[in-house]
Amino acid sequence: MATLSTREIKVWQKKKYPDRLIITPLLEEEEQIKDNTVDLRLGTEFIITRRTSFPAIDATKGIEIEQRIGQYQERIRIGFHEHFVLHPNQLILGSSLEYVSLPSQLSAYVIGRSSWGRLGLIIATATAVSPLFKGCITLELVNLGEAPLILYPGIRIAQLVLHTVKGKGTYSGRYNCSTGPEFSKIYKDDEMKFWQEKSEPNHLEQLLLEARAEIEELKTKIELSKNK
Amino acid sequence: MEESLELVSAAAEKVNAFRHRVEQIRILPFPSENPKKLIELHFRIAKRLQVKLNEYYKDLLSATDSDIKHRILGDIKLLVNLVKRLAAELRFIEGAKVERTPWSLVQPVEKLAQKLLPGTRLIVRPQWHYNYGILEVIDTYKKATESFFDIKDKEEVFNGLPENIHILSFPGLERGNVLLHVNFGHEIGHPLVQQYLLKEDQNYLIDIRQEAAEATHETRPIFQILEVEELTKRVSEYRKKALQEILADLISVRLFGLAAVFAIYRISLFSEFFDNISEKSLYPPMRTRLRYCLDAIQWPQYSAALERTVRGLNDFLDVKNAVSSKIAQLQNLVRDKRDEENINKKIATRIAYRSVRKALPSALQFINQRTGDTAWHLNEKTAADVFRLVERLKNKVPPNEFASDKGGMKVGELAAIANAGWFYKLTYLPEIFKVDDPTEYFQEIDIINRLVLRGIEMSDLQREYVVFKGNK
Repeated sequence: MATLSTREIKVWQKKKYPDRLIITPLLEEEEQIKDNTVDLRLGTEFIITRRTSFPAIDATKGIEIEQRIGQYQERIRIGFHEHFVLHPNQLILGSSLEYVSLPSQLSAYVIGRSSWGRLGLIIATATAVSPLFKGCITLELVNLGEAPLILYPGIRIAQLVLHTVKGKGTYSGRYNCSTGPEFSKIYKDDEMKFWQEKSEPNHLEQLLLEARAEIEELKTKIELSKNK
Repeated sequence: MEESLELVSAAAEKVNAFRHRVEQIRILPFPSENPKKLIELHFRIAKRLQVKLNEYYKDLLSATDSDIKHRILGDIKLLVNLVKRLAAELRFIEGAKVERTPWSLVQPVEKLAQKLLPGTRLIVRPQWHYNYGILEVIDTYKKATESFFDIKDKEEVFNGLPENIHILSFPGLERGNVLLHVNFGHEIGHPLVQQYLLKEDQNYLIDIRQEAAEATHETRPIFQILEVEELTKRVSEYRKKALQEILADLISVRLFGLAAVFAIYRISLFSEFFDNISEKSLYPPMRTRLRYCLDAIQWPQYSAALERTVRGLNDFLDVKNAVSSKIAQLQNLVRDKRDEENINKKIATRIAYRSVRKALPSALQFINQRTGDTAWHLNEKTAADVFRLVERLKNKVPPNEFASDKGGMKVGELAAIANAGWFYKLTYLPEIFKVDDPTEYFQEIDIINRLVLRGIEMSDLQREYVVFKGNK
C-alpha cells in the first residue's frame, strides 16, 4: 500500500473505466489536488439529530430503528450561498460535495483540514473509503470548540488521501451511489442478532428511558422559551 | 349594529389568521428566492387589507345612512372572499419548500425558462392531481386586489417584486422521477405559446366560419347564423387548446430533443385521453400529440447522427440500438389513426384540427425563432456528448461532466444530461426488471434518478463557478 502523489492521482483520473478514479466536480482542480491529497468540499445535504421522545438507540433493533429513524434524525438541505450554524458539541452528518468513485486498486482515507481542526471542527470519524466505493462521502461533523461555527456548503472542509491496494480490493458497503449523507445502518450488521439481549428489556426500564427522554425534551422547550 | 360589528370582528380574525399563516410560511426553506418573493407579496397584501378593514370599520361606525352601511358590509364580505382565496393559494408556496421538491432541478429549469422568455420566474411545487401544469399569479393578484387598493397602495404592495411568478406544478407522486420532469419543458413552453396566440392573425376565423356554414343543416337564416356562430365558438375553443398543447410539446422537443418525446410518451401511457379529446378540458388526444412530436424530431437526421457517432465509439452500439428500437415502437404507435378517426367523427373537432394543421407552419416559425438559442439538436457532436454521459451513468457516476477529446473535462448541458438519462434507461433497465423480484429494478431506477439529478445540479454549479471565476 502506497500513498498516491499528486501526479499519480492525475494519472488515475485519466485511466479508462473501470480503472478510472473519479472525483467530481473539482471546481478548482489545481488548488484541490495538491500535496498528495484532494481537498473535499462540504455538500448541501445534512442529517441533523432531533431531541425527541425517541428513548435510546439500540443498534440491535434493526426494524425499530429503520421505522423510527425519522423521529430521531432529519434530512435538511442548505443551498449554496446559505449557511448552517454548528453549535458546540453538536453532531451533524454532512457529505462531500464531490462524488467519488474508486477503482478496485485504490482505497482512501478522509482526514480533516488542520485549519478547521484548530477551530474545533472534527470531521469524518469513519475515515476509510474502500476500493470500488461510489458515492458522496458521509462526513460526521462535530464542533468541539466553545463557539458556534458557521459552515457554508461548498467550502473546502476535508482531505482525501489515496492509496494503492495490494491485489484487487472489494467493497460490500451499504452506502453505494449515495448522493448525500446516509443514515447509520449499523443495525444491518448480521452479528447484532447474536449480541442483542436474550429477553425483552424490562418494561419498567423502558418506561424510565422514555420518561427521561420526555424530561430532556421539556428542558429544551423551557430553554428555548427563555431565550425568546 | 351588533350584527355588523360581529361581521367586522369575524373579518378581522380572518385577515389576522391569514397574516399569521403567511408569517409561518415565510421562514420555511425554499430552493430558490421566488417563493420568498411571493410570500412577501402575500404579507404586504395582508398588511394592506388589515389597514383597509380598519378603514371600513371606522366608516361603518360613522355611517348613518343604512344604504352606506349596507355597501360597506358588502365590501367587507368581498375583502374576506379575497382573503379566503389568497389563503387557499398559500399551498403553492408551502408546497415549494425544499423537502417536497426535486430541489436540484429548480434553478436549472428556471434558467432555461429565462432563456426562453427573459424575466420568467418559477415556483416549482408538487400537486396531488396527477398532472403537470403552469399558472401565472402576479397578474391575477393585481386584478383581484384592484378594487381594494388605490394607486399608492398598489405601489406599496407590488413595487420591488417580480412582474411575474409562474407556479410550475408536477405530480407529487413523481417527485424523484427526474426523467419524467423533462415535461417541465412543455410547461415552460406555455407562456411562449400564449404570446403566439395573442398575436396570431385572426384570419383563421374566416375559414372556420365558412366551414361551419357549410357544415350546418339549418336552413332558416336567423337560426343558421346562430348555429354557425355557436359552432365557430366551439371550434375555436378546441383549436386553442389543441394549439396550446401541441405547440408546448414542440417547444419541449426543441429544448430537450428525444428526451422530451420519451417523457411525453411516459406521461401518455396511462392517459384516459390517448385516442379521444377530453370533453371537459378539451385536451387533444395523446396519440395526436406524440405524432406531432415525432414529426418534429425528424428522426432520419437524428438516426444518421447517432449512426455516424457510434461508428467512432463502438461501445455504444447497444445504446444506439435501444434508442432506435424505442423510436420504431413509437412510430408504429402513431401509425394507428384511431385518434384521427375520433377527431373526424365530430364536425367541431374535425374543423378545429384542420385549422390547427394550417396554423402550424407559422406557429412553428414563431417558436423556432424564439427558441433559436435554446434549441438542442442531436447532431454528431451532441450525440457523442450524450454517449459519454451515458458511460458515466453506466459506471454509476453522475453525468455532470465527461472527459472531452481535447483533454480536460467538459460540463454537460441540461438537455444532454436528460437525454443520457433516458438513453441509459432505455438501454439497460428493461433487462433488469423481474416480476418476481423487482427490488433490483427499483433500486436501479432510484440510483439513476439520483445520479441524473446530481448531474444536473453539479453541472449548473460548475457553470456558475466558471462565470464567477471569469468575473474575478
